[in-house]
Amino acid sequence: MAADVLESLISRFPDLQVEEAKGHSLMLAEDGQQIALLEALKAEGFTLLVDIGMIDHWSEGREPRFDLVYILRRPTSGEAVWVKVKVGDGETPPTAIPVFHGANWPEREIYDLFGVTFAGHPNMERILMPDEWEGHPLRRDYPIVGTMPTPPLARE
Amino acid sequence: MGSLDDRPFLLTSVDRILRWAQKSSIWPAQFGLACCAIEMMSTAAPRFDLARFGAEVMRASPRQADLMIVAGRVAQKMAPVLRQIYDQMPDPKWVISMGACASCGGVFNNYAIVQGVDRVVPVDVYVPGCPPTPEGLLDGIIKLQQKITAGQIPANRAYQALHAQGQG
Amino acid sequence: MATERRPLVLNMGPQHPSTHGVLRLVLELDGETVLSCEPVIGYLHTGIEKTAENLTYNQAVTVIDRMDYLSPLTNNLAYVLAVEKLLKIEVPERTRSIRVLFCELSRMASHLVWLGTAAMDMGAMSVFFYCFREREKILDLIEMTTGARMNPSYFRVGGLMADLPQGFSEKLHALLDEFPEWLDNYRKLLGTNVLWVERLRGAAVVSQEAALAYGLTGPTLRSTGVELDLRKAQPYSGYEQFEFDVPVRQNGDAYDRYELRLEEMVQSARIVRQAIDRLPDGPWHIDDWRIFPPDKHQHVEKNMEALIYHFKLFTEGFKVPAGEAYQGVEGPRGEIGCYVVSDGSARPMRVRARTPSFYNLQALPLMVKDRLIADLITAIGSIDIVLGDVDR
Ligand code: SF4
Repeated sequence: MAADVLESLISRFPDLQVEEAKGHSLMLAEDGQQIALLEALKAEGFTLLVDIGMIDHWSEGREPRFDLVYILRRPTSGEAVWVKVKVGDGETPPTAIPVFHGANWPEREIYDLFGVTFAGHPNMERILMPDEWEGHPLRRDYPIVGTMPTPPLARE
Repeated sequence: MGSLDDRPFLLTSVDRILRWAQKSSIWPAQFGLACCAIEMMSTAAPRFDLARFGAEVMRASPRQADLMIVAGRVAQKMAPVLRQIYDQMPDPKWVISMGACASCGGVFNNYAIVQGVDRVVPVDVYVPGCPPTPEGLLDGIIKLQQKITAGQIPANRAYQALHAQGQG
Repeated sequence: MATERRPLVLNMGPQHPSTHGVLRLVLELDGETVLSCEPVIGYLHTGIEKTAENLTYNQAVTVIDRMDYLSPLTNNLAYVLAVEKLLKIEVPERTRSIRVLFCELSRMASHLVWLGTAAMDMGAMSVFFYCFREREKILDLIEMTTGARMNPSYFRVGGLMADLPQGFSEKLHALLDEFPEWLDNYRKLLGTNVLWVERLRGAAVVSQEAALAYGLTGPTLRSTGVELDLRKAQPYSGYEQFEFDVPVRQNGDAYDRYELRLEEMVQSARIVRQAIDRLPDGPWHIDDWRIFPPDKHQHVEKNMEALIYHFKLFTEGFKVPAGEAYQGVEGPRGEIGCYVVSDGSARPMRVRARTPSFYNLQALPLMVKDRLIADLITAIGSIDIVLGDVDR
């Protein structure tokens, strides 16, 4: 990432930690700051929302348990930047829809598969699993075969 | 009208000619789910040409179909829909379970996939493979035709009969 | 008495011939005009990410395949490169070129399926037959190398499943020589077809700004004038050594996307030709028995140590240093990204797949708002979704 961009970001977000990883820059934001940071990055030219994802560190016993990852790209050069925020179980990070409309589905997906709700999201419902599903499958403590009973063989 | 003696004629039973008609014009429901559906499309395409076996008329509506080829993995969310589509098909009807996923869950032994479509609908022919080659699907259809010609009852009727026995 | 005019709510799918699988759309219609459209997805949710967490690194290749089943090899590449980043290994030159070659072949195959099915949605049946006839020839090449027509899981961490077979190059050249003729055919069948052109022009328009905010990638993004192709912008797997152009269009409509995809096939063919002509000799996998299994005839049958490595690799897998890596690759539909998080064990802690169709589909309501329902069919066709890619 260009040095001047980085400097102006750091002056605005003093708590920001930045690492240069292979292929992208990684920014660790403080909880609650991410939306402002996304906005600043968007103004700097990172206008393409590539992905919003979540990583569950339950098996390592880490607290707070989740990593929320935003990946943005600069469409002119393809340069990528990650914004990473730690989120605890039961916390409600703010939605990124005001900055990127495309955040709608990925946030719903995270809710569906991890059970983290986003504050201010207009439609926080399950997206991939059936509405009556119990549990959030991608949590590390959710068994892979699920918790729902297997239906019997079809007999008319 | 001449007498029967001076015209060639065939003797058969109504049952047999009915079965022959059934097996020669199977109409599959166009019901693709996942990767296997692409192979199903290839089967209908020029190289493998499903039309040679009289089963190329893929119907978009289940009401006009008598064969359901379950081509692909059946997700938990899809299972009730699949059952409804099956119920909408007129009798007699058959089901081919195409691919490892439809037959037993395949590589996906997990929360999201129904472990075999036979938990949802009765299946007549299982075609193994991931995905089965078009030849495999053709073989499955030929097997089904043999079953029809031999007068075997469709799986749903067989289950009904079993059920009635168990109750009686 | 004045009658009240109410919108009609129509449920389209999940079993509908032109939704390309199991997409469900809830439409609000006023006559034939679409007032709103809400895609309902998840009918093919397969739990691939969860399954991958429970497999060893090399086993997970097989399930990653099955996401975007029209171009499985591109999925493989994203995953394999991400794991290789974590392991900090570089694969030999030959491996990289073969990977590029197969990715481009599957891009061609995938675009052919797109062309055939999109044309069929529009009522042009014969294009489907031509496209599938020609796709078979590409599949033949994939089959002769990998043993499978679809979902071949050919790329492995640190190498490939096998080297190119004998006679591959001749067959590929024959195909490449034939290829311009195919395209001519499609252009004749569709490009001069008034119905096709009129239905595509101006349909499913999306603006550049919206395309970026919704995270569109691939031809759908490039049809709006953004020249972003990861193969050029952030080259991976040696793409920087190949000469090719990135076609871009400005209108952002379905016709542009159709033209883009045809043009992309031409470019892919160009890359394939360069790859096969300049294919370097040498090893096609890394030489590290802890990660890539030793050759069976050369080593395992003769050498006890090799046997042990081989056994351990297939029973336990290899350990990957803790960390996380992301790799985005340019698939036929857009950016396929894979991020792999390792906790130091032999199984990934998290495999997250960023799939292009998921994001592209999200913009569908935008494209069809206040348009006719016939344009909806065009729009679904033109964004080229694969439901396995949407739902994973
Ligand atoms: S059996 Fe294989 S090819 Fe068929 S749907 Fe399942 S994973 Fe896909």
